[in-house]
Amino acid sequence: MGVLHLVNSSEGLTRCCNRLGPEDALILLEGGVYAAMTTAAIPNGFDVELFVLLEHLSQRGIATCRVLPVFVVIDFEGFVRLTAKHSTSVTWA
Amino acid sequence: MNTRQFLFIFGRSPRGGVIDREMLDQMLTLAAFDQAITVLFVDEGVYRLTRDMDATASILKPSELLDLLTFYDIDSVWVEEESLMQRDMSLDDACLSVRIMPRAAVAGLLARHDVILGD
Repeated sequence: MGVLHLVNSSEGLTRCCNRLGPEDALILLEGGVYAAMTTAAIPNGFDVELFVLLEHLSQRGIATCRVLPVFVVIDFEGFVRLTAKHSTSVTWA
Repeated sequence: MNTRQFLFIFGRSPRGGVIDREMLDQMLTLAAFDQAITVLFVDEGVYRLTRDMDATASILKPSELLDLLTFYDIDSVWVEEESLMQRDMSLDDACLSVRIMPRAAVAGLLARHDVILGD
């Protein structure tokens, strides 16, 4: 299993996308969740799983219908499961 | 004690040294317990390597950081090639002995570590 990338800002997303591996997963948190509304955020050429945290979307008033379909919306429980599934995680602030 | 692979990423510009000091404390503690440590400089983090930086106002000078790494035998220190190039820097500008790694190799480096800590 690849690395789980925790992204909590738009600057962090740029840094993260430059260094994604083929089997990695990416989850948008905190201020990073805004990127789930724009195609600019989607990494090219990788088979990367993309997630966004529901609670952090809600806190910012972003309805899930605004989230692009490539992102899977998960709750805290799903987040915990994701961290357990990956052996390594890295935070990009 | 189990040995785990730790990777420290410096990716943000130096901000007065508090974060650096904390990262360094973590590194030196782990080094004291014989854990495997790798350090990677990317993006704005490469400015920590700048030679002749006037760091009089900061708690920790970049060169001090690097001296301490050497003192604790942390010799796996890398800088991302593209991050240097984008800032018109080269290894000649670096104040310590670091090795260059292409961006394409960074994902593999991340995957090889058990714990990754960043600034």
